[in-house]
Amino acid sequence: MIISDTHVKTKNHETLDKLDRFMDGQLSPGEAVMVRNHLARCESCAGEYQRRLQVRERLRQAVCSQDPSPYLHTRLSARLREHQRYSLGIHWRTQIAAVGCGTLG
Amino acid sequence: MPRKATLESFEAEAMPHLNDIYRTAQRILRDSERADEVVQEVYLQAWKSYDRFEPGTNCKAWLYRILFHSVNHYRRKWFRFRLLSEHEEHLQENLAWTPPVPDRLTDKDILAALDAIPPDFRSVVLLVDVEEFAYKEVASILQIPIGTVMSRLSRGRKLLRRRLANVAKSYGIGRAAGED
Repeated sequence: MIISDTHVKTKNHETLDKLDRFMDGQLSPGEAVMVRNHLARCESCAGEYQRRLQVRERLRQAVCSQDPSPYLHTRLSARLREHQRYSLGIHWRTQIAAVGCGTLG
Repeated sequence: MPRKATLESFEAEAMPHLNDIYRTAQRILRDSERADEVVQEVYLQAWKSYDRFEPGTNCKAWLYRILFHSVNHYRRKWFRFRLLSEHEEHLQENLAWTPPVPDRLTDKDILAALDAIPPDFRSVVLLVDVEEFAYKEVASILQIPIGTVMSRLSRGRKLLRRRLANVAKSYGIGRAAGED
């Protein structure tokens, strides 16, 4: 079968539009099969797909190379415990006040 | 039977996501100290509302919802950011094809390219590409329609590719975006 240039360009364009959603696993199973079949036949789209995967991989590596300060976890745990103690203090003061009011009343 | 919300159970559920939350905050705010401060506020808020968190649901997505709520609050306070409208960022659409990322590009180069993208686009790229959330989850985290998630992701990725191509060009590798 002879495929015209226009058809190839249109088909490529359609695949390019769907390539990001294919990469993100967000296409319907039917659409995913169509894109996968196209990638198996079309070298330029397959190359484009590989380059997009490469950008995503390099981005992940770069972002994950940035660690928080080793003290963040410690500081955070201390603040959470401080907040818990404060909340419990309020809770008990309220309870004692309620009991006191009940006794006096 | 209702669950007993202890600090230990909160920490066991929420602390494994601390590094992810911090990295996203750092990339959105572009400032380590402020990211540190915001992350602590996120966890305190999460702990205060932990009794409303449904066990078995996605804890990471819940923390991210609180993160973006806090980030929006802080960036208004600190930066007086204009919230970018979809139409304000002029995009050349002539970079349909992705140039290869040269090995010589460092993590710092890639982060600089990402940081140069407007925050609304950067947020979606981070949530999908780095944190691997589904579009539906991103829509829920950012409280925006799923169509907006998809358009911001597409534009954000195009901007990132263009900036990476320009960095590569400055190293004498390949052609700058927009050159034909």
